[in-house]
Amino acid sequence: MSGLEHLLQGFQIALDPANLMMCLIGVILGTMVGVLPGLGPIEAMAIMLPISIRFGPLAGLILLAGVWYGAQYGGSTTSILVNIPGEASSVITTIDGYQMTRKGRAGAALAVSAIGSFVAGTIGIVILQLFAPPLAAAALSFGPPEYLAIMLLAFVALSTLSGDNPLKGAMMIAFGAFLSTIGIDRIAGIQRFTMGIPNMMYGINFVPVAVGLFGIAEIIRLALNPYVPSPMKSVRFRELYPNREETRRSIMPILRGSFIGSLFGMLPGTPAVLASFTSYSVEKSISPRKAEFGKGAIEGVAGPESANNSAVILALVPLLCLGIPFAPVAALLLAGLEMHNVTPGPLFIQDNPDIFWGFIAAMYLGNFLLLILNLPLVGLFARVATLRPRVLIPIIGVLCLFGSYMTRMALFDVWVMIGAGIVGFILTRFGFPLVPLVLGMVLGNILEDNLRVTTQWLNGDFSLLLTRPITLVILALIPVYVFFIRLAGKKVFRNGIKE
Amino acid sequence: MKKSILVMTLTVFCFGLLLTGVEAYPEKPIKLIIGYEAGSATDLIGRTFFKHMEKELGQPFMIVNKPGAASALALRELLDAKADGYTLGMSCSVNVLKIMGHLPKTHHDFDVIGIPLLTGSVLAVPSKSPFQSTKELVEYAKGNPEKLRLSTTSKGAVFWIHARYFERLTGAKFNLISNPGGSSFIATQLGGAHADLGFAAYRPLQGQIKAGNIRMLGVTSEKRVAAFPDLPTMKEQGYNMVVSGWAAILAPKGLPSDIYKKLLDAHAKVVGLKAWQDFCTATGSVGYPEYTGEGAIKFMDQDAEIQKPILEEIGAVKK
Amino acid sequence: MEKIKSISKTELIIYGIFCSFAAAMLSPSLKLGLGEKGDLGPGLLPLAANLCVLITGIALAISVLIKREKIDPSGESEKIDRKGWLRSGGILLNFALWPLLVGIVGYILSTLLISLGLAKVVGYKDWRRPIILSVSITFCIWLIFGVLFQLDLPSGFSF
Repeated sequence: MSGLEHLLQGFQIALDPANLMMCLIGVILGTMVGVLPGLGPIEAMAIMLPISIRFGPLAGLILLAGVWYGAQYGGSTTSILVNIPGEASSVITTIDGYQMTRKGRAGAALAVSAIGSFVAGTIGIVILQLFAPPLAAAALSFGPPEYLAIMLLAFVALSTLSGDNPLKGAMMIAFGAFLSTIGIDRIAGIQRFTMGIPNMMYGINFVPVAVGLFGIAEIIRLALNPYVPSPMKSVRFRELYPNREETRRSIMPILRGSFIGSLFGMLPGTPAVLASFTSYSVEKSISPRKAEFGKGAIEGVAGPESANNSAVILALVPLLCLGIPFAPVAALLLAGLEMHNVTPGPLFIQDNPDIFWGFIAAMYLGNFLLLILNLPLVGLFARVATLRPRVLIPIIGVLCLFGSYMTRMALFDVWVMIGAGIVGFILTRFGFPLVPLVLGMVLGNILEDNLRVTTQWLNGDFSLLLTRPITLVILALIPVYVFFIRLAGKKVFRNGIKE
Repeated sequence: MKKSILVMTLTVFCFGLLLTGVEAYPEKPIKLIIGYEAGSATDLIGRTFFKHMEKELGQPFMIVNKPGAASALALRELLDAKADGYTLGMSCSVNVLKIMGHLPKTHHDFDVIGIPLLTGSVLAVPSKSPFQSTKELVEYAKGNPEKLRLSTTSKGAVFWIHARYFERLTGAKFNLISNPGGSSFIATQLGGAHADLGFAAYRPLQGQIKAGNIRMLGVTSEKRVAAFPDLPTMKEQGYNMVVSGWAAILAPKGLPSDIYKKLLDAHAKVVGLKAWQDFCTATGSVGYPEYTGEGAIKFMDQDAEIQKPILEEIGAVKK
Repeated sequence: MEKIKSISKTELIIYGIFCSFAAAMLSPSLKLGLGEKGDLGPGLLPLAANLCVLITGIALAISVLIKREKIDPSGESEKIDRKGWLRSGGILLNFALWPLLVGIVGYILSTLLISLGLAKVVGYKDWRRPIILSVSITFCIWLIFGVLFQLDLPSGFSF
């Protein structure tokens, strides 16, 4: 049977009312948990797991995966509207997304992020469908040194995000990296900087810090002068959606973002945030409107949001084709399958063609459902941005409190959030970029993990690196990347003078 | 018709209550605090096991994940909870947390319900590896100390302890690679032949084993495991290495004796269920009904004795 | 000119705080151990990160001292009146109240109180609208987190 026949058969299976229902429930639930900061897909999936078991392996997989990728659609909503990133991968979207909202273009930002997610998701599924097995085999050839090389490349890319003052950015990255080391060391198993406080042993959690630094700080800022009339008093329905110019500017970033996201997604164990900020850094460096970035450039929303979604879809490759769950979400999907004695792995597609192709078809449908579910929501959400601060502040205030509490049901995190809010407010007023701080915090201990695993692997013999061609290629990419960004920067400068 | 059935069951239920009095427990949902992230191996064990416990006890369980500090944070909360049987907890390291300095208590400070399953470590190598048995591997490693890369979990975590224990028993020296997180990195490092051998749970390796990328040389459990009956235990191969990963169900100290007994009975019964034994088999584990209450305490005592000298050696032991 | 000076002074204070914090963390980082060539210790990255904060902090402070005329780069030098600071302070106070209250009276009551407090602080003059707002917020929270997702929210003595 050819691939197309398989896929048609898959659609037949996926359009079965029960499966379709599961898909719909999954994506609706996913959108919900995605929008609410602090509540991630993991909690929702854990609750759905026992329910999903009753409906067989495929329906369960469709349901759980629907929650997973559905959450990525809604994930950026609060970033764009109220400057609160609900998870690491939507931190980047706060930079330009929230600025668009302040300029009255919240609807356009939300719509572009939904469309970008749809396009990227679909591209991701196509790649998954066509190349999953060879990709999985390729992913296995990545050992510790290769991961380290990728993280080094990521930190170089991160340094391009530092805003006006690169030194301030570097300071924030370093401080974030230090914060990430607090807690029980993930390799040596000993406590670091916990000061004997039990809650510190788990480390400083990402969500309360991000919610505080961005959300609470923004609330404080809003409250200082709350009577500024909103720029979006009377927008007509059509103006909620992107105009021709915005659409034209989004197409290429979406496609590039999908490609970047697909690359990072296939590497097991790399967080989706790597994809989204690499996409942002690429867009920023090649854009002729560099000055607009950070002030509401639509490319800065379209690219990262697309990258994030294709990364999430392709993160299914290591799960389905290697049988190795790297994230807790993947472990839950795996559990759902194993309860029916279906083992994902290199033989998965061959042994269970119905499940694989039904699942692929269901993902196409789910992506489409998400698009038609999200576009009307854009209109609704965009109105949130027009609410007056006195209505908005109590609502997002309470959401922030619950969001940080719920990440692990600890009041400690609420205090962290309040503290981070004050720090964030002060730092923003003095022009310190917060995004590098948060990304340093997310990526700091991943870099450390990879560095330490790799040195253990090398065991002092650094010449072993020469035997790893993939590592050498990635390491060689670092100077190329720096050169490329410098060059792109110079070109913009010259164009700027000409104009 | 439906209504009359409902009324009848209710009447029978009420009579039952009157007759037995204290048997009312549990009359509201029970909270289970799991010291690990949702989706982690222990979390999945807990969720599956307590599905069966729900049926046995007739009340739903509310599962709360409180990850951090090898479950010490969850156990702290459990220590503060009322000993009324409505708050239970799950931990995989309660017996060594004191040695590691994460919590000033041990399993003797809790009412132990039981250990629903034991998972032996699997000694695995990439399929291309020249070693066909544990003996060949140990012989080679003895001649070439620190040459072979042994992929395992973080220092102080269960598979790392097993790897160290293996070194102590055989006298071989390996280049230990401690990976963060669970066993996923071990699976890729073995599947891609980036490491020469590894100690890990069976479950994350399963896909790669079935695909023929990873080969198992031995398992550290007491007896052979139903999921792979052809694999000899380490004991059979002449290495007296009987260690397991496990997860214990705990309650705050001082449960009323009738409630404690009810929980113990339910635990023993569920472990004996065929559905639970099937789950154990599928995950490469074994469930022993006798590891309920006293049996579990004794097991954890012995396990702590094995772990203690190894933990002392890396200085994880708090001075 | 006076104003600009006060801004660069505050900026210097921020660098001072960052640098002294980083400096204070150097010796605990060293104590954790730097490890060896074949196995890096847990202290290496914290040490490197803190050194980096220290160096960039000092460099930034020097640059501020050299060019005093640098204006607040966030571009938000608009005047803030006392009322504005009071509002922000009131909001923070409300936030701090929630974790203090929630363990005692439960999440429903404390959320009701906090959202009411926030609404009043932020600008409602009357009582009717803030009460409607806080009741609907609390109801939504209860419906989504309490009923739909069945989360273990603190109950205190009330709910």
